[in-house]
Amino acid sequence: MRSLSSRLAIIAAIVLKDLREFSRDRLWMILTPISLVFMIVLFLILPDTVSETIKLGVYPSYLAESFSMLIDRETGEFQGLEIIGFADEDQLANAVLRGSGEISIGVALPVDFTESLLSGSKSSVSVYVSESVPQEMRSALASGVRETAYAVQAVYAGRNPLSTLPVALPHLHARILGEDMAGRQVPLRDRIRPILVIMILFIEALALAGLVSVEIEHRTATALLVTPARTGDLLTAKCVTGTILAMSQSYLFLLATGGFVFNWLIVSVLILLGAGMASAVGMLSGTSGRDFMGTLFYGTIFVIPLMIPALSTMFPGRPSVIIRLLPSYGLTEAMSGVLGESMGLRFAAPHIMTTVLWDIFLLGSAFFLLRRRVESL
Amino acid sequence: MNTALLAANLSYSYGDLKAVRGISFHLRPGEILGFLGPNGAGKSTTIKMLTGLLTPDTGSIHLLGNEMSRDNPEAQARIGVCFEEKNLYLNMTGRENLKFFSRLFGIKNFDTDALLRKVDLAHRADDRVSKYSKGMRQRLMMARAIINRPDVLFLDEPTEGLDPVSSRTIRNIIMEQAERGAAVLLTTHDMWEADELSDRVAFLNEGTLFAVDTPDNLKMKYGKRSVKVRLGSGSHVREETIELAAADAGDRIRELINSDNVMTIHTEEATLEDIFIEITGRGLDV
Repeated sequence: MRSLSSRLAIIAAIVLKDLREFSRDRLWMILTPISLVFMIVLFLILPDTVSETIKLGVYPSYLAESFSMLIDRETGEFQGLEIIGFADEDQLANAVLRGSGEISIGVALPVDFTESLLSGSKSSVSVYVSESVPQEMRSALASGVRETAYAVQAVYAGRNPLSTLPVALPHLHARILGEDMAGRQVPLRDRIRPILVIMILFIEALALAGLVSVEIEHRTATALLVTPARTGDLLTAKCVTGTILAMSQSYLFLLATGGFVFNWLIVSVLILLGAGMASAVGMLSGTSGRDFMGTLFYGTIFVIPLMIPALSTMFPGRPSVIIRLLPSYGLTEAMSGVLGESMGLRFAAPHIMTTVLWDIFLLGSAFFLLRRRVESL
Repeated sequence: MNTALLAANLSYSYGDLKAVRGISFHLRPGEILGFLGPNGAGKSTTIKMLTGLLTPDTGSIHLLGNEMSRDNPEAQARIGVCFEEKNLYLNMTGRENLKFFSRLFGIKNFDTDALLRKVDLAHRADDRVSKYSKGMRQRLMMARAIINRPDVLFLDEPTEGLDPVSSRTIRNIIMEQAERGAAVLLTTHDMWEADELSDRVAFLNEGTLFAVDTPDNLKMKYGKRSVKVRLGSGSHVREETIELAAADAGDRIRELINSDNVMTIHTEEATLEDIFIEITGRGLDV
């Protein structure tokens, strides 16, 4: 029996050889840094804060007070709505048009608005909304204007509009089902970070697939197997190479984007598990394809479903059962929680366990199929 | 008997296709055994079984006294293999290819330059293999095969399609390895090469071993014992065949030589190819 050290020496030799070959592959040597830089730039240009306050501009400015009276002051909170008065309608329109987030919505009332209301004559109100304001918000604003009319009427009648209604208003208690993220919304930049990490992991899976397919296509694997190197050594080396490639890129990305300010130990474990999954995908793709194009085709077939859970995190709501059954779901959830929402081990542990089981299954399948393919050369 | 390799009743099938059918032979240290047969005869399959890449359906292989099997690193550390396909790492240099394989064999302080000089590649040692010619790649394959000073060397069509210079280099290395004491199994369908290099030859066709013997014995057994004498007198040229078994053969040859008309004398012994066709009923180019 060979000693463990001689086996490790063989595995290390194959890994170094693979890394050398990778470093000389023009395609991957161009694609890898470009994709890494692209991901970092994409991350950096995304907004790093979330504004939870909607700024409502009102013209003429003296009517801003009437709008404020619509807001429930019993709690003393503005509930995320800030009302700003404008002395000029054009100023208001420009503030909305600039789209810098200064003013999301503007309401321009005619200067004789109150008089018109009190005299019962019809007046016209202009509502300015930036293109980013959703349709539902525009409808809500129309209701707001109507409410304002009633409030103005009450004010000018010398009454408090909230206390002189002919009906008693119910007390409202907002109950948040699930976790209330008010005041600590995750910026888009942080939400997309885990997606980019997972994309990087699986791009490197394709690089490993290329190395595996070349070994099969050129039958160099056969040359290895008539030396003291065993099939298991070759497979282990491929797995290590894939893990090194995927981990190094992910680490570089996280270092460049400040990802390690979060729980670095859990993040490292997740990257290791992700890199293992990427290696399995790389080996499966490399085994399936007969040449470079075939490998790329199968690589894409494997990688796209694994990217779906990451993409689904961009949308609100719980993902469908099918998405939750995909191997990368647990990894994505854990990464999103830890990297995006600073969650800890208690949150990540079940997802880590699921990912470990998927890694075992996928790596086992990849080992089995690659072994068969290599031994049939 | 001192044997380096003993193969007994080896068979292998690819599905319904029987590639090798119960062949047995042995190989002694320092001996070159030429494995001759046309394409598809089962030569490469036999080598794959002997090197542990394929597990035989039946039979056994003993290499240097130990049973050869798949995943047998101790045995494989003592063999060298030169494959028919040029399975080298094309993006690596010749030197890097050899260094990598020396690490797999656990060879410390490996002298790459000496080996590269032996195969006349020292001047291109640091070029990527993708830039090598076919002959250069084959010479590098040969260097890789002997990197561990193997006790048994398997060479699958090592000179096929090569230029005369590369062929000569490889043949010299084969002879050198045998002189060192390595047992060499050489598959080829080049009968001239087999005749020049081999101590014994084995005829393989359709997975069956038809004969294993020295080239001389085979020629004696299957060839014609005669000489053909070409005689010229003025513009007239004629040939005469003399059977060596005839009682007056010596007298007749002496008589012709003394006649001053002899232009050439050729032995009429059979070539290995003639013998192969006679034994198997099939040519080597098929």
